[in-house]
Amino acid sequence: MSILVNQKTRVIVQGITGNQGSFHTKEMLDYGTNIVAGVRPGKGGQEVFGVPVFNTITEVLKEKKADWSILFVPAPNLKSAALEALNNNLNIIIITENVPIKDTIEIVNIANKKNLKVIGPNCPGVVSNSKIKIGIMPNHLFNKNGPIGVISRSGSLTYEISKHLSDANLGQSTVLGIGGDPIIGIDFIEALKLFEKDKETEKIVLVGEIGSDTEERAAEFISKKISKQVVAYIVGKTAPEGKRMGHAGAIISGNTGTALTKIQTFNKFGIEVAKIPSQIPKLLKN
Amino acid sequence: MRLTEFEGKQIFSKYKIKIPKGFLISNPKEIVKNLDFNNFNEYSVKAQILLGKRGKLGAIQFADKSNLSQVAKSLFNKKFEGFDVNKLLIEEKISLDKQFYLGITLSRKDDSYILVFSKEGGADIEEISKSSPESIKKLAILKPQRKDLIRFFPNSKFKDKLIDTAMKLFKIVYDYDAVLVEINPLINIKNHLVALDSKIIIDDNALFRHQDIAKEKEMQLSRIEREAFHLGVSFVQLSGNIAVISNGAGLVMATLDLIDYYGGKPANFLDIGAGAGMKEIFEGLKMLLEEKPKGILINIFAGMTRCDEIANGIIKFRKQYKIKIPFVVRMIGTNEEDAKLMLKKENIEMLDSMEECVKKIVKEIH
Repeated sequence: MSILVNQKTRVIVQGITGNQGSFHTKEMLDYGTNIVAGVRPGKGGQEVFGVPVFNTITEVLKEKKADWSILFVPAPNLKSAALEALNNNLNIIIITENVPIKDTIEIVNIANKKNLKVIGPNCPGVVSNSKIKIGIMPNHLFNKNGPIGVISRSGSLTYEISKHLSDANLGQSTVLGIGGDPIIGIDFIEALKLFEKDKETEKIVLVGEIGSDTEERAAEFISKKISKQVVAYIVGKTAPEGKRMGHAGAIISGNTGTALTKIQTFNKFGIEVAKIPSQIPKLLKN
Repeated sequence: MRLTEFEGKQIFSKYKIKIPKGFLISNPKEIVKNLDFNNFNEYSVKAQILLGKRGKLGAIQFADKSNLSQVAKSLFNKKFEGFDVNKLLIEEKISLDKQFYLGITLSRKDDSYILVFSKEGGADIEEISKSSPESIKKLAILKPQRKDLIRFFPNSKFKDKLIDTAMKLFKIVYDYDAVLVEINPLINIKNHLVALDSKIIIDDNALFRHQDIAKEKEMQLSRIEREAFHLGVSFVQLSGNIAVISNGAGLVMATLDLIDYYGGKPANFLDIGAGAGMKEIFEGLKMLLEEKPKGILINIFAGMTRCDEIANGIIKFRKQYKIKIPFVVRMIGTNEEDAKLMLKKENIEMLDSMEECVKKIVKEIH
């Protein structure tokens, strides 16, 4: 089993008729994802690459069953679309960038109460190699199944890391982009728990970046609860301070948040940190 | 987006949080007409710059009527960490009695807002967390009711007023999409709590709901940042000599880190995001070259983006403007083969590996 999704997972695409929505619907279909329907208010009755479009999720669920919804809905309308999916008991993946944080807080709290999963916002989604992709990763670079699980806060950097792994003949079980926003659904710790339980995953790569103390908390969690090898890679060593972080993180976590403190924390807990991407496969093979 | 002290205090005032009496000027000549209504023994003169620790930097000074103009003039002529002083807030100087810290920010761990209070305000919250960590109280909570905060604040004659003020700050957080609202210090004047300073940061992602503030943000950007903003890309100035174009925050940071790892120094970067095309790369190159870097590195991992469109932009740019400095391109992903052929015809080598590409540019500029 892979984590979160598998071949049987049934997917709805919200915002299917837009540029990104339709492009990635095609890509996901090509990958083999079971997309049962799309949603776009006012465009019910149309088709996108053979996928029937409905006005609302409620309408979809009268005819079909679904497990997850992936959202390509623009930020101003994202919250209502996400809540519609959650109220219909769907797990959601939010690809949309620039979602107001206040909206994300509301979405995540409602999902937590209903015991539903949220991935993102501002994330590339999830792909279980050669099985299913609910996301926007380039198909041709995610074709090598194997024992490595990847969790990342980034998008394009995740592809870069996966490529390094595949080139070194280290296939991936599941690659999960959790999103780069301050408030997100599934975080490192939750993803680590899933990978720990997953029989297909033998080793884990954690790709982190500056801001917040999520990597630090993950490092401590790994040292206590994860039996599988974890290799970390942290970017932002040279990033200027305060660019998008403001002071919010600093108030909660004192000195945490810089790449240096993150790397030191991983080292302190005995977790290896790659300095550059090409070191990741080497550390995994050790 | 961070608001200035004065902008923050205007919001406080709207929510009936008391602030000191005073006035804002953008020129020392404006002092005279304001003095009739602001007749104080002593004045605080505060530069409206977006920096912390203004007291220590000398951006807050004190004066009486006799030297107020002079102090104002000297502040207008100063620069603080590169920031010009365009506005001064002149207020009645207040002697400090009891100083609290009160703020609301995000708690990622709790997927929530978090209320932070210390009875030892005044200093930076980071300093307070070192000097008297036991004084800091935190409560992760969404849209609290008054009763939810009763046990949070310690018993004292200020308790009710602190609850009131905290409730008002939560209202500001929700009404303005703030990710940080901070009063430090919050002081006692004749049994009233007064906000002596303000710090408010509005969520950039929510600016579409706050058009007036969005306009203000645009004013704060430098010329090149504004160009980038209109192009829908993000530009960040750094201090080295290699200009970087890449896509996605993570990949940008990885590229900058690699440049540093191999001994180079990034001058600036342009994050063209997902799905950028010919226009973004063309205009982006133009912007970066105006900054006179010693070399340019393009590192694109294309998902939504198409490598052939990026190649087209590069070729078009090279025909119109000569690039006389070292220039390396790495692209991978959607339509990379087409891009490689197109660039080859123009004698531009397209590399596959980002590490190779970084090594090459660092070597070529030395």
